[in-house]
Amino acid sequence: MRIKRRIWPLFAIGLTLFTTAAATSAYVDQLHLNFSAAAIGSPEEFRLVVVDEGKVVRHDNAVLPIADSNLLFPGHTLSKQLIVANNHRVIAGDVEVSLDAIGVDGGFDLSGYLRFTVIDQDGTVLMGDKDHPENGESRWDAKASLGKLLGRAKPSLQDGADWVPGSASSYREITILIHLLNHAALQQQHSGLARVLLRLEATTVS
Amino acid sequence: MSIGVRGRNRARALLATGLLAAAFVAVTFGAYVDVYQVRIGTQVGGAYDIALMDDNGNIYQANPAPLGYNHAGTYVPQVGQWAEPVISIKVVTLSEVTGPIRLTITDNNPAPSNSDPIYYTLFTVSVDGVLVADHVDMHQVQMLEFNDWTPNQPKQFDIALSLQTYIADPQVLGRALFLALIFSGESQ
Repeated sequence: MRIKRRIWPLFAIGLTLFTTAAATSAYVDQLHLNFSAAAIGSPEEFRLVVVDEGKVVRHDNAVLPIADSNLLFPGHTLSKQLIVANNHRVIAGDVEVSLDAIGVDGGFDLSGYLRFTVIDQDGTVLMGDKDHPENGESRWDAKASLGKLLGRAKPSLQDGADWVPGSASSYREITILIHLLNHAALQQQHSGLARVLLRLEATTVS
Repeated sequence: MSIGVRGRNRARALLATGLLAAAFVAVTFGAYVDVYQVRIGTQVGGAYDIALMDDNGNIYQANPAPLGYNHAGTYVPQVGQWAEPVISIKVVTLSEVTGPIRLTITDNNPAPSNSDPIYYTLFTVSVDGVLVADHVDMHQVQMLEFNDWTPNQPKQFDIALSLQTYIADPQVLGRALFLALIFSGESQ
């Protein structure tokens, strides 16, 4: 019992002091220790970029041209190669790639009939089927991990700049196959359109 | 009693440690996230479009409403009797995508009958002046496949009509001939 009486008041005083210090203006003394001449953190933004036709692309509403985009009809496949790169000098990121499609006003909506395949630079199939692109992923399931991209070990690049490769582990060249199914519903159509969206999502990792 | 007090304090200490640990874990898992989206092509897709063209270059889709011709006063002879009337028509693919085109000939009589002359009609088909079928029936015409299309470059189809020399059904002669020519293509 004696021990209990001694402990509780101490505990209460501790709380009071803490609250008072936080709530009142008083004399203040501070001591700063700077561990770095500059601010701690990263002045460079952690960002991914896409590289297309030798140029860095990182702006809103970017459109990457794809050959024969107006010649995609049932049973055929379009192909697009591009580079996904970590633009940060140091920080690494885990990258996820996903593809989506939406219809276009004025045309039969092809989005549900597209199938996507993504092939890594070493031939690894990240999603879909490179030999049978008709077995690729639909817009609802077209998501895959690209894995870890290290920092580029060089200064980051601006949108529109000429591509200067960083460290080999900081970027990957991928091939995207866009296949239009030879579906009975499409055989009744004379035309169709869709917009294809490539979404990259990266999370920093140590 | 004193043991119980120490036990509660230890519990508070453990709870405090747990809170600290949770705060530490939350900091450890904090990360930057970046999301970027681009479009692959302005849009993807395409069209396949075949149409009819007249001598002045006018385009007729003839789909879904057909293009009508009336050749009243034109007579179709039996083979060898006299010159066979010729239907000339230009077909064109308007899209960059092309593919084989087939010609289907069907009875277009609004009151069809087994005695319609179409079943006894022979067709001689030339494309751009090259004979591709010589006095064949409508089913054989359908077996033909017309290839090598270039966008916006029409091909001229000349289809000469004649009747078989022997027609057992006496009701055929003198009846009007109603034809539907259907050009259908498939993108390739």
